[in-house]
Amino acid sequence: MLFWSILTLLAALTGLWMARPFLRRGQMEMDATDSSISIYRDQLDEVERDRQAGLISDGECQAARHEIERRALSAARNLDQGFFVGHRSVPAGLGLAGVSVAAVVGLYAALGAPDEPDQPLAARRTEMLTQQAAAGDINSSIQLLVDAAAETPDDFETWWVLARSYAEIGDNASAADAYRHAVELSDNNPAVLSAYAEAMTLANGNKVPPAARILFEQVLAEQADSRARYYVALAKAQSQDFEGAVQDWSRLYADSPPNAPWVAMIRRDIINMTRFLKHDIIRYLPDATPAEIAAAGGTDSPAASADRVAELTAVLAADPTDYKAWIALATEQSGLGNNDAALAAINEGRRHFKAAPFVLQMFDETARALGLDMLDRGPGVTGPDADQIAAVTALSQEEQDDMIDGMVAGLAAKLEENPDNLDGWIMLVRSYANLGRLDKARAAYASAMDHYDGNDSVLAELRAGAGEVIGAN
Amino acid sequence: MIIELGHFALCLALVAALIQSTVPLWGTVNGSPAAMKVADTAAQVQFFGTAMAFAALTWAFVVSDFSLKVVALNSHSSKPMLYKVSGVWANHEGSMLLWVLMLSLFGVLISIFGRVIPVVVRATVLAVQAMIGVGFYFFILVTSNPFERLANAPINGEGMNPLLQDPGVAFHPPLLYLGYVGFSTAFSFAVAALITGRVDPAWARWMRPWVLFAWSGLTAGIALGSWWAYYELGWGGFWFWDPVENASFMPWLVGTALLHSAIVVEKRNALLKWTILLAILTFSLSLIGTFLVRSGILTSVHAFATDPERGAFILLLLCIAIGGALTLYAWRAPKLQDGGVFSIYSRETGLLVNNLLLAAACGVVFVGTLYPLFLELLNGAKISVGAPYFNKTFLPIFGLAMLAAGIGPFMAWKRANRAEVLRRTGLTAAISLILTLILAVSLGLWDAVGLLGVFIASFLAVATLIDFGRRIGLPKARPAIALRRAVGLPASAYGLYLGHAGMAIAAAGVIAVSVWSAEAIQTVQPGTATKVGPYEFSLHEIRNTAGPNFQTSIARMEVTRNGKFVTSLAPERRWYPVERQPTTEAGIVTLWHGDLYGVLGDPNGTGGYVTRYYYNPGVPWMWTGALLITLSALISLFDRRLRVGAPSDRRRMAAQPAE
Amino acid sequence: MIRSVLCAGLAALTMTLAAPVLAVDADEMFADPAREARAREIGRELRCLVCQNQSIFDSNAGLAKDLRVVVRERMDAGDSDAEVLEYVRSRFGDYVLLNPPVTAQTYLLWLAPIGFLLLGGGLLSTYLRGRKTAPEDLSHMSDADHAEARRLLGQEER
Repeated sequence: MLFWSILTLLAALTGLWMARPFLRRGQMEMDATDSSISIYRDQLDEVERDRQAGLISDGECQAARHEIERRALSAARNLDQGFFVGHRSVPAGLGLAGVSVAAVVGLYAALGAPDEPDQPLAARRTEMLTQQAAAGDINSSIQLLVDAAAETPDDFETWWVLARSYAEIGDNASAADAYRHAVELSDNNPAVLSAYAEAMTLANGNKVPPAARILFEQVLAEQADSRARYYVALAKAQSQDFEGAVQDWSRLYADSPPNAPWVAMIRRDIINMTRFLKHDIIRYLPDATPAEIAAAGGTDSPAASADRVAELTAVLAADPTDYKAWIALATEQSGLGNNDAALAAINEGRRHFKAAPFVLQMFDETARALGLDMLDRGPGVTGPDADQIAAVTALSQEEQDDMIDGMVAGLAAKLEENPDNLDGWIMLVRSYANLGRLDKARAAYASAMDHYDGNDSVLAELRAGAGEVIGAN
Repeated sequence: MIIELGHFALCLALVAALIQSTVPLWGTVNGSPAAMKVADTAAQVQFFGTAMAFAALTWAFVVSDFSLKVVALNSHSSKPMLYKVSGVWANHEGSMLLWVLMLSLFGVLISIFGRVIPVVVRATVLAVQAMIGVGFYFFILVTSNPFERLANAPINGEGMNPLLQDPGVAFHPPLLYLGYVGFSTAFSFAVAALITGRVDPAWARWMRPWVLFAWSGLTAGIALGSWWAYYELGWGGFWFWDPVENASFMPWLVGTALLHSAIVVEKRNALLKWTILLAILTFSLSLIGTFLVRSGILTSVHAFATDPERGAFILLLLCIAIGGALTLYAWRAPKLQDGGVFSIYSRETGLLVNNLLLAAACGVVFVGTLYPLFLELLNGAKISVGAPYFNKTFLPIFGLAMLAAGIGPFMAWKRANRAEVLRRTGLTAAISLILTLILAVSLGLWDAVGLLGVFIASFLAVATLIDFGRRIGLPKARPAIALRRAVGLPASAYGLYLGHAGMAIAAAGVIAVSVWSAEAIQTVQPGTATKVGPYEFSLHEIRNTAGPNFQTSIARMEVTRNGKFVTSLAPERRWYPVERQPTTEAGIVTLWHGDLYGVLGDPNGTGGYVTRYYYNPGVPWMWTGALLITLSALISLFDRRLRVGAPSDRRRMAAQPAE
Repeated sequence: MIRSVLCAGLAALTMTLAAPVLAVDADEMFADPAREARAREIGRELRCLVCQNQSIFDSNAGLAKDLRVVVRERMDAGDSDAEVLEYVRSRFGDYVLLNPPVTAQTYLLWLAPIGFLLLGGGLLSTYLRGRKTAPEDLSHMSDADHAEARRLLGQEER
């Protein structure tokens, strides 16, 4: 209704504006001869100027004057000297305006879609997010949940699902924040508390912060929550109480059903603890396998391990971008009981790959598997953040090269893990070519060709995208 | 609601145009000043409508309202804001809306600034202007409605051709349309003259500012497009004789002729019929250009034949407008009386010769552009007409036109002193011949075509200087007096000198870059020097960095001449990850005589890079010339006498008692 | 988070990878500048078949490159300029020639410039001849006429 009112109002106003000449008081309109005559005046001026400048003689000037005068005269005589007298004609004016309004409104009614609202994208956020979430985009689901939480901040379920979604994509800090709301709304439900404390821990680089430890202990006071038991033990380990930790884990292991998802983790931690303490693993883990016994520093031949360490050190001296060698070195060192050396190997590897988050993740996993994170009292391990990446341009050329080397190596590692990534392959080949490592570029190109063997369209794309930089086409 | 208001506004513009094209004409027949004055108010409402429709469409692009079909098909929510806005006219529907926006803009300007034009003439002009508008509003609403809605709006659009995402291209169409569509005023004035039977110096004076304005915009638009090609395409090309370019060049050529013949009408009351014909032809060529570009016939004759709705509609408009105007011309023109008489040696003849040469040059471009189309429609034969054809046919004619432009100002109106004209021409020819020889000897350039071109360009330049000198009384007058005279010259005189000098400078630039540019393409290791013409280019370090939405490698290239450092260039290779499209950004440094132009290519994997180096002499002259030409028209606009014939106060005082 | 960092990292990396394809590569060129100049001359006469009015030396399309290579091969085989053009024409038709050959089909095209000039010259001479014989409006002005003209032109004060 509002729309049609605006429309009609606009049509009426413009119609009246168009009809305005009919509605004004009568006027006299001259057919202005003067505007023509003024041209001849200008011409006379010009002739005069030219004469003064000496561009034309007096005779020419006189002739020109005569001609201009003659033309002015004939123009004045030929032109209509008449004038029009206008009369105010309200009926004509209103008629014109009326016709205009009717025509415009009618034309629009025939062509337009008056019921269609504007749909600027910003107003379609929810619609857009729902569609993307349905297509499996978890970030969109999270955005939807964030919107929902902002709308109904007292709904436990929303916060709970939101927190779990955050946890799923690894954004533990946000997860902890959402869990905190859920905790408040759930009246300190132990399961929620425990999830909250776990998110806090994960957000802290898997180091149990004091607050989380208090929460876990509070949960344990109410019920024997396995997760709380695990993390309290971890907290003990992280405060160097290896003895207490291994005993707690051992007990938790005994109480857990054999197929519980956390069993593997507990076994790994028990192995690491007994290795640190140089205890006999059988005391804590009666069903330990021979391999586990070896990993716990039991029976493996130290001589062979020492050889292997030397070998790996040589390899890494030649090519520090071989991340697998770093991991193997750390594993061997920890097997030999040189936990500090193992930690040093991991940290050195991290330095080379600080721009390759995928590799950093693998380093973190290794450190965790070897229990080295209990020894490392630095902050939690994270990849380079956006600021660091942005700071790349501010680095020296050498640092930049180093960083880029790391990124390329990271990309290679990622493709090894998941080779089904055409863009990645193209990027890798081009990166190598660009860094001047043509041999590696060719090798990567060959691997990619192998991987996509038989898939002609992808191969063509690969050739187009990467073939030419190494001269393969 | 905003979008639907835009749609409504477009309907309003159509209704206003219908009223504007009928009521005022009725008024002129029945002597009703009120009805005639409806032309003004309707022109204002029409512009209000198109402006509102255009604003609504722009808003839809800016906020990414994909319920609008044209937005969904041509935009994307992640596009930078500049290209969301320029996306409005980067598609068929939006560009047609821009077309009518420009058309109604000229209408409303005439209604506001054309107060001194007698109401009968103004009413007729605006009515004709509105008739063109009616045709195009129907075209838009029936075949290309930008306000068509989608029942199910998609969540994102299909994006815009990344090639068009460049500031140069973004603002090229509005300027081009300003010129293109601005010539509609000339058409309207011509048709109005035929209808009212009134053609006199005053008529020419009323028309000329609009033509100057349009012509200036068209010049700038063409130059801008050419400049974009030069810096973006990465090898220094600036003109391709592409049908789309020709479509804007043809109105420019005939518009130039019109501009000059209108002077003859104003000064001498002669060449009336010819001027009217030129005015009709100029806008007809604009319409033909619109047809060529908008019907899709250029991309494929067959595509046009299978989906002819739009093309056929424009073709129909074309036939009505051009056919109608020419019929009217054939009927009414013989009754027009030319006033001024002139001898063979006169400024009038000079301008007429120049007009005919420009028209012939335009005819050649017309035939060259349309011949392949006609041939293919006729018997399916496919041929190409490219640069070699135009170089052989267009350039000689245009060269003659430039010589005539040099000689023309030597001749006085009506009857020139023949001996004096011949003497000045001889002097000019001798000076330019010496200049050409000096250039050839000192730089060792012996290219017959190039030297001929240089001779012609310097002929025009020297002739312009000589005439300017004569006009301010040199060499006889004392410097102080000459200076005073120079200050006293009317703006239109400066328009003439600047325009001609700009033409000479631009032509010299075009010739220099076409004939004497030097290039070198090679794979080099950083540090290696390569000789390019008189310069040595060498590649230095390459730095990688990131831009707002692209990554780039920037090279430093150093240029030396005879071992002395001249400058350094910073060409880039960019990569747009979203579009997965690389672009080259040439490193260009402009010296007074030419551009140093370096392009960074692919790395070869062993530390070397493909590089392309150019020395393009004359390119800055080309752009300077184009700028001067554009300015010359604007300066002429400031001539007091073109302020649409307002008489000076002194005269008014003197004249009043007599009336 | 990790994913976005990875993307940012790789974005910073790819900046070194942009590889615009440029018309005319260094590797396809003749070492001898004179021969290269000749190849250019020939190439400017040939149309890139997939472009709008660009010659093969101005275009970076793959097809244009193929044609450039053909041109160079024919030059290597010792063809004259005309033979190279004829060779390409025989395979792709007249469409490939930017300089249309004079045939029955193109007489009009090639005659047009001369035609326009002749037409213009003819019109000009008839017009000028017609002008000369046209009676000049030299009807004598009476003193009264002069007076009125001066009044109109606001000159009586002089």
